[in-house]
Amino acid sequence: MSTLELENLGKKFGAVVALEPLSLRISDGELICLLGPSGSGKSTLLRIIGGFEMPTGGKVLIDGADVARTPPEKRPTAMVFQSHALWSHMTVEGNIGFGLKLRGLKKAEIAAKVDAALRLVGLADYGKRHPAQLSGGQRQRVAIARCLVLEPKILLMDEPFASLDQHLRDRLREEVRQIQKKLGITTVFVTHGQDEALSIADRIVVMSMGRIEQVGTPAEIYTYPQTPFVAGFIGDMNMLKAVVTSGAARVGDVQLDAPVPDGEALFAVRPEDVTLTPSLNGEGVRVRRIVNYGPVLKIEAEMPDGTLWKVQTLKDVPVTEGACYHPIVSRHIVFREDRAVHRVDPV
Amino acid sequence: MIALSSRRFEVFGYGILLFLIFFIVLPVLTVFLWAFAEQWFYPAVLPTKWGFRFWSLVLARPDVWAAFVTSMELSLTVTALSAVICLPAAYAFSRLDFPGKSAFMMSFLMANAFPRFALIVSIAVLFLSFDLIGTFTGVVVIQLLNTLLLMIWLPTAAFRAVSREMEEAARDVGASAWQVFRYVTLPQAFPTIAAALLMTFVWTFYETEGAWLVGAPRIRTMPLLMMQMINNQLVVQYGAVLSVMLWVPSLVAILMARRIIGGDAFARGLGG
Repeated sequence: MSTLELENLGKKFGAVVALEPLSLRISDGELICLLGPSGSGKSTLLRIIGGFEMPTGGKVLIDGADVARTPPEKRPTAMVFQSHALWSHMTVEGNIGFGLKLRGLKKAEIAAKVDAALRLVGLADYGKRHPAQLSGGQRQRVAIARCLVLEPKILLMDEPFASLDQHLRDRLREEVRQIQKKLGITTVFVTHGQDEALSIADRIVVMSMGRIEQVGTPAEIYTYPQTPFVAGFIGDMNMLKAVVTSGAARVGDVQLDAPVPDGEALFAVRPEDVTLTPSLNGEGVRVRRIVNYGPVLKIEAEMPDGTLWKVQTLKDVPVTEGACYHPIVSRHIVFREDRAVHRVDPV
Repeated sequence: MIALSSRRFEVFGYGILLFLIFFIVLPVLTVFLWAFAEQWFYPAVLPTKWGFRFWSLVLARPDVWAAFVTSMELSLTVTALSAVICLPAAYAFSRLDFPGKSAFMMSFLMANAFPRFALIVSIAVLFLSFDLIGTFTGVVVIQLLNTLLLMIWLPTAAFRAVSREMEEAARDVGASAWQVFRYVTLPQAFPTIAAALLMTFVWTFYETEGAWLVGAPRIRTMPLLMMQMINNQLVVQYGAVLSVMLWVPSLVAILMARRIIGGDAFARGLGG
């Protein structure tokens, strides 16, 4: 039963601010994804929690005890590295048992725990092998077992599947999620892949330029982004600039409600929230390209003024390249000064 | 076209082979033949009488055994001292940042850029004033200077090649800084360090210029004895027997290197 609290945690490298002071509370058994582009500070934050970077200020509280100044070997955290970082001169057993050996456990005890950890990650017969004899996915499993065998309070994962192919990544992600749920271990997972974050996280922390942009469940983040950055970073989004006059704005012949003071605003519309209906008078948007993704079609359409629309429909909806359509928007968000100020949901 | 070019390659390959046979195999073979020849008169292609007579003669000489002991003592001492001095330095060079680091690293190269003989002569002059000429210590010091480059540059590269994440992973599971070094960094760098140690040993064993200029006349190593025998003895066989004997340490070293470095480094080369 472990919670992780970050209080005003910040980091500067010389004059460069890597992490602006931030606070975050992660509850017991929760899986949190730190999501952001490279340079957003997500890895720095993870390394501070693991003890590999000293914060410039702030606290890292694990179950209420501040470990911000504690070296990594004395912290109840365990980290899975992007490069798996297995010790190539030791066998798989040696790798997993090393931490236990350092803790002075008896040989039989170590063997039993290593065995259990190997079975947990589905590598029961691989103990005697060397890392060089394993595939990429197996190595990452060993790295996970090496962490779990120590029964850490907090599990840290630094883009653990970045070097694996898509198929394997999906499978391992699912397995990690199951193991994490089964053990109820509080986990912080760094990724730059939004799919990864959306599919496994209890909550996502979206980061950009050393700041937290938004914290929320995958559904919240996807449906109600609070800043234009989050709106643009997660999934596909149409970002449209328009001028609001008396509670509404027009983009071409599309009217978007915006009960906010007059002036310029930014509108965010998901491609799947746009429906195309045939236009008889040649107004609206002209379909430039249709890409078939199997169950859905991704459509690129252009307004007479050059504004591009990304639209996503189910595969059975009849759409033809070169034809004109009226876009109908069922859901949109209005941003002003980098904050969401209004949103319209489908009735 | 393809047939022609592969033929051309074949001819080229045979050319190289002939060259190697003529300049390496033949001289070596001649030395071998002389070592086991009791009589070899012109114009016979092979020795006219074979035997081990000169082996027993050479092995019965006390100066040969004394030189062998001196050489072994010298090589072991130099290798051990070099390891004690250079390995911590190499680790520091690879992991710490301090002012003048690159200048320091370059200085080892610079020392080797000078003509070695001239450098040794000037050092010998210096040693004269310290009463180090003709002493074991003097030869050890001059040989140590010879090995610095090898024993600092190679292990520095080896330590630097150890992945930071591997070391962090060890910290993460509870290893102290010393335990990280002992269980991760050192074993990872070991194959390269072992190679550097073996090369240091072999290099010291066969070195002649420093040993001669600083050690003569009291310190006589195997290669010096061999040179002396080749220069001063009318009987060719003494030199030949010693040459063949001198192969033994380097052969053993190479075999050991293959054993120690072989398997493990191979696995690592595959990306373990």
